[in-house]
Amino acid sequence: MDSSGGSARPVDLLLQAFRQGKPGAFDAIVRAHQDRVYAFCARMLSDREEALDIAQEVFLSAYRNLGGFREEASLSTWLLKIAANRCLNRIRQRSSLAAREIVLPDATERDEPPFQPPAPEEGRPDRIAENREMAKVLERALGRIDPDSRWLLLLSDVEGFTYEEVAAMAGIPVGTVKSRLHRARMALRKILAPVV
Amino acid sequence: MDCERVRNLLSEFLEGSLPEGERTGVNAHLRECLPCRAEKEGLGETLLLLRGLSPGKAPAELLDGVRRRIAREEAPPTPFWKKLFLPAHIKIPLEAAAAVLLFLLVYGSQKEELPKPFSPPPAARMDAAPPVEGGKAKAERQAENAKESGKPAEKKAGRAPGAPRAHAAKEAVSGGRPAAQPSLPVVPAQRVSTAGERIESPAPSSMLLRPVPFGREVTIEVAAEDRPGLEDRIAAAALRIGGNLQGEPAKPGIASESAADIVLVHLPAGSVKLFLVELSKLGTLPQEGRPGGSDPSPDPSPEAVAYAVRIRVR
Repeated sequence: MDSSGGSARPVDLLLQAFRQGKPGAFDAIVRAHQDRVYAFCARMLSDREEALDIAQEVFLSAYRNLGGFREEASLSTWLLKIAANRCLNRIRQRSSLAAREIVLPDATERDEPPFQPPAPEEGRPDRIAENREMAKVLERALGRIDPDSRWLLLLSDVEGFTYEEVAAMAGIPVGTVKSRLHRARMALRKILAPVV
Repeated sequence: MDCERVRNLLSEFLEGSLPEGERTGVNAHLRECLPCRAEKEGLGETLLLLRGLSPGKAPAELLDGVRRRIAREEAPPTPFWKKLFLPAHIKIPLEAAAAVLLFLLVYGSQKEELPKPFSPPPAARMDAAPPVEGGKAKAERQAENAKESGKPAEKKAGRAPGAPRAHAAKEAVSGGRPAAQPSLPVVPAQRVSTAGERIESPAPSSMLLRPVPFGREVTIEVAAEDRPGLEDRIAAAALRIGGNLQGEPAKPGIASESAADIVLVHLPAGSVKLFLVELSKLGTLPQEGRPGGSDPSPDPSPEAVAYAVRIRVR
């Protein structure tokens, strides 16, 4: 897995083009990273409108600060770190945090078809996540994890960053990252137990 | 190795990062313990689900929104005045209010520019400084002023003691300050309320009774023994020829330069000569005290002539 979160070479070229003031360079940077940044925000916030707003803030912040970006980490790492901080701030600002995260919406209440476990031929793990319904269930389950552990889980297990990279981004020891991640995984496994 | 210990190591066991010794111990436990084995399989599936999550597609409006925000940030800040005047819902009422204000200002200034009422020259005004007199006369007046114990405050204030009751009322209203508009024509009040604030001035019944500035002055010189009651005689003379007296006759015996030495009359325009003849019967009219033929201060109306008769004791 690409721990830097993307192919470094084209991003570096885009960064160089942006610094040279080439027109359209920043648009290209946004296009290259918007899917990951937006998905991360959506999973952190469990709200697509807020995710869109925060993702735009992330790129606006990047636009302001790319001049001072020292490339100690990859651009995607830097962007996701900004996204994580912004999402955590937004979550802390929410007054109805507990109500929104504890209640797992019932699929029947939303006129959605109830979740059906995949058929045996579709039960291979690499296909389960591709199942749209399963992805929705998983994202809802992620929303019930403590935000301070959730973003570690997303960075490590979804985005593929190493423990060391996550520890550097979070500013905590690697051991703490490992123990928090394990607790978060076990909690998620418990939530998903009825369907997994 | 117990269940709790094994479950705490499951993440590292699944990632393959567990040291060999612990890995063997966990394997041995999992072969024996069905619940721990189920836990391991469930955790493995959860990790696979997480790692299989696709990023999905960001909505198209994300890039548009970023462009808009950047454009907004790079645009020069709109000046305050522009923000204030640009929206039509602010601009139109403001312009309407400005037009009304402008109209009121122009209308008001035009109203102020209407012809001013007649203002007599300083020499003819009641509140003007009296003409310089000889040292003897002045000394006599000062001596009589000293006897006048009933009005010390007026003297201290530098006011003429008799007539300027209206001034006193004015000062009471304006907080005791002297009148700041000496150029306005002075019309003596006919009656002053005892409350000291309201000046009652009944409306004149005819043109002749209307208070007018006293633009002409005549001096009558009498012997000291003829002085008492002279004001009444002058008033009677004015009334005989159809004139009128302005205010109550002053009390005799006040020799200072004040309204007591001046009788203010309104005369019909054609009776001036007759009035002067009548005055000459009462005393001497010195040449310098007669009204000149070319009086620079015209009368305010063609029907009425205002005269201030100054009494001088020989």
